[in-house]
Amino acid sequence: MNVRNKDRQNEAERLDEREWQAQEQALRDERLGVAASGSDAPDAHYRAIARVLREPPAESLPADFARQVAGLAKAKAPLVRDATRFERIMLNVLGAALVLSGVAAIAMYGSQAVAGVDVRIVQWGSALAACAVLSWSFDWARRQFGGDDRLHHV
Amino acid sequence: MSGPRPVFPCPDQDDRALVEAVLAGAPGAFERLVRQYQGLCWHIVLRMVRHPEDARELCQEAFLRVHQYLHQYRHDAALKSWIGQVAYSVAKRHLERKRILFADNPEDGEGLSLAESVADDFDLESASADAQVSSHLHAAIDALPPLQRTLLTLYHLEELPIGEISRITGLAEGTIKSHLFRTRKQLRDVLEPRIGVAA
Repeated sequence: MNVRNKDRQNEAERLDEREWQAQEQALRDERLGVAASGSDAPDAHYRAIARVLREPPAESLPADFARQVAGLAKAKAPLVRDATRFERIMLNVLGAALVLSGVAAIAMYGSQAVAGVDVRIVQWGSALAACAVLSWSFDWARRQFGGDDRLHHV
Repeated sequence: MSGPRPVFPCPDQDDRALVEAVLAGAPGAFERLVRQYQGLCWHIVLRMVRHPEDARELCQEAFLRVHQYLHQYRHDAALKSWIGQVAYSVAKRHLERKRILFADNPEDGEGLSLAESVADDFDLESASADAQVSSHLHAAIDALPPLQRTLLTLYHLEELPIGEISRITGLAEGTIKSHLFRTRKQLRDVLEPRIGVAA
């Protein structure tokens, strides 16, 4: 039973592969403008399909579309720039507020919090934090002094 | 025999220079970029939304997005693919907002029966065989879901390889092949009773 199913599946795959090749051959023939290489009905059908699919749409963009869009982009650029700048300022302010509140919380409650924790956890945690700070610092320095290729075109 | 060879600029280098010119605010650079890629954008968007007026507005939106986010383009794919991706996502979001069916699942058997959905009102006597086949195919292509129409356009009209189409649409290459295969087979089935073996 399984063997028969497998045979049927193989046969279907073989037919699909042949059909795909006929589609691709029609596409190639149409691109090159050569006479159809196949002579049966499916080939002629696929050739007609490839021909119609290569036709550009009847409607098109206005002739001065590029100029209009460029003008619009230029007019909108200051607004976009201002929005981006505002976003960046807000991010910096919120980031600074977060850091300051963290420092204040550690200063006020740090000793009480650490008192209840195993000293080894505190040591390893501090080491981990130092590694993270070191890694971020290197990354920041590389970006500041132009070592990051990704930013060259910006 | 070995005279100086003509040096043709690589399209990738041209793109890089164009992007840098736009980012530096060089006069006319963005207009040049739009002119170079407006055909691709138009083909993608029009094939997806079908209404020329909507398509024009969406193309404009797509290029304004390109202008706004060009600094994020990393040259890891062709500029054509990146712009195509922006156009595709703008049109897709428009269809989602309008709750328009975007695609048939290629794994769901034969999907929509095109032969049934294409109007059967062609005047066989008055049209020549070629024109009749062509208009019938156009009607069948219009009846396809937006995704299938767009994949056919990118592959046949824009002549993009399947890998590039995959970058633009975010679909796996196997899925794209499956869509292309089944859709072209559906279109062939539409032609079958019309032109039979005489085509």
